[in-house]
Amino acid sequence: MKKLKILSTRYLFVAVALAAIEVLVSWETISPLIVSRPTAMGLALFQGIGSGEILRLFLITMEEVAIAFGISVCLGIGVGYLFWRHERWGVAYETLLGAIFGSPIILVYPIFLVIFGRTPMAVIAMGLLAGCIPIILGMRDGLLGVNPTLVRVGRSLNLSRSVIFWKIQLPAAAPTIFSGLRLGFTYTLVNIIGVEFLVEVGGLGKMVSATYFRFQIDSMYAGIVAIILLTSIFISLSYKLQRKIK
Amino acid sequence: MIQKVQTQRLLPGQIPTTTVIQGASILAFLILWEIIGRTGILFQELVPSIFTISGRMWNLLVSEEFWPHLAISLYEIGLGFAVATVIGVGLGLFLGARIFWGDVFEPVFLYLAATPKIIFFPICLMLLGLDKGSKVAIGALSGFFPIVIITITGAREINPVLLRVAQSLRASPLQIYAKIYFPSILRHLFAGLRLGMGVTIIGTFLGEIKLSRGGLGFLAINFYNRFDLASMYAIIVLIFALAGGINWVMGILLAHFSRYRSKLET
Repeated sequence: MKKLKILSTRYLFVAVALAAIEVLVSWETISPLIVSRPTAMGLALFQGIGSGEILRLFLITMEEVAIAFGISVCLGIGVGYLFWRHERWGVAYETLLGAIFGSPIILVYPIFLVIFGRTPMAVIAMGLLAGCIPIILGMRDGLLGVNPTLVRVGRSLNLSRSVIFWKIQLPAAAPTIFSGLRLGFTYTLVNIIGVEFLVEVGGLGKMVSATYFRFQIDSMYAGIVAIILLTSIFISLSYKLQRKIK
Repeated sequence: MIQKVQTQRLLPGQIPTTTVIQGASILAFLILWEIIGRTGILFQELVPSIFTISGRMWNLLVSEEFWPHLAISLYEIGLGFAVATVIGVGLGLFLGARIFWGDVFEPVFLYLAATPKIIFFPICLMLLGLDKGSKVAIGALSGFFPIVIITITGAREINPVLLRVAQSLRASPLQIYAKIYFPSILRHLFAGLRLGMGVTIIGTFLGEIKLSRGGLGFLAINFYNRFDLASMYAIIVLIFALAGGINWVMGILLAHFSRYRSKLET
């Protein structure tokens, strides 16, 4: 009952806020040149979906995300494993990677522009750089965090090193590894959309920038809403998946 | 998490292996960059020599052009962070203290926090124009979310006994916020402020790079458009140094505050 009240209040608040914007923009208290009427924005969103344009842009963004995330996973899992096996290298690089991860790493995107030009490759490279670091750190932390008793039990049963790794260590480390993957995916998605917007290449991010410069305000707001929905859906799904894995 | 920590026994004057690996890796990266730059395997303009980049950096630092742009960036970051802090802490305290309203709005903030904030930049541009205002706004918007979320978390973890004592002493709502909530969440708040500062810096520089009339981001993209890549790399290094410097100062303040707080508690 309490949950229902919270949900209904949340949606009521959003509805009232949208209605207020609709009225204020219609009365031109807020300039329609700056803020789109929610109904006009909704119409632009549905037209975009109906014409297949938003789906096309969504697929371009997702293709970039899939390529960047796919490489991030292969690289992150492999390097994370090596940093776990070779402890001194792991300790040394954990600090370096942590420092890079904590820095405003997206600001290096002009370097990718220089190397790849204004192409999807520059966008993918930025997504890859941002996404692989949490995966490396998650893989290493997950394997380091495995309870040594579990490994000792495996050894006492005369299991080989590879069986211990695949049947004991990897499953025990799975929740932390998945946390790293989730974080890596989020960073890949966010960075790719951000760079798409900045360099005006690719999918939904490009749509927001291009419609702003063409002064198509309704479509610009539709693009922003589409991105908010996209990131919210993916983040909600990844949280649910993580709860299942735990 | 159980973590195996091995401490190395070092002889006097011996350098830890970790430091050696870190130093060697950075040195190897620089040497590789220099080799690529000098041999021209890639276009020489794309990967200029480190000495060229350092020279441009020096030229920038002694030029009159650099400092006004640095001042613009610092102004935008500072004001954006101040706005994010005031609104984030105020709203976070309110939503953390009122459990129902916190439950209503926290998920909205969590989802919006994961959205790339730079996509809101066109709205800031339309509202505030090309000048500093739009960069302050995007910096503030970026910094707001981590600050409000961490403040809500901090306010929810407050010891309820303190609140009951305050209520039994008939403290006013303002007194409860100022004397109970605010001091109790300070530890969380500093972590949130550090995180908020990081994303404010990112938001501001991205805004400057996208569309602006001044600031270090503007300078970097200007050099890119003029294909003066050595100067662009120099600016990016300086931006990272600035971000690192601000983070370092925030870390010192946090450590200083933690010591002060521990003293008070003992």
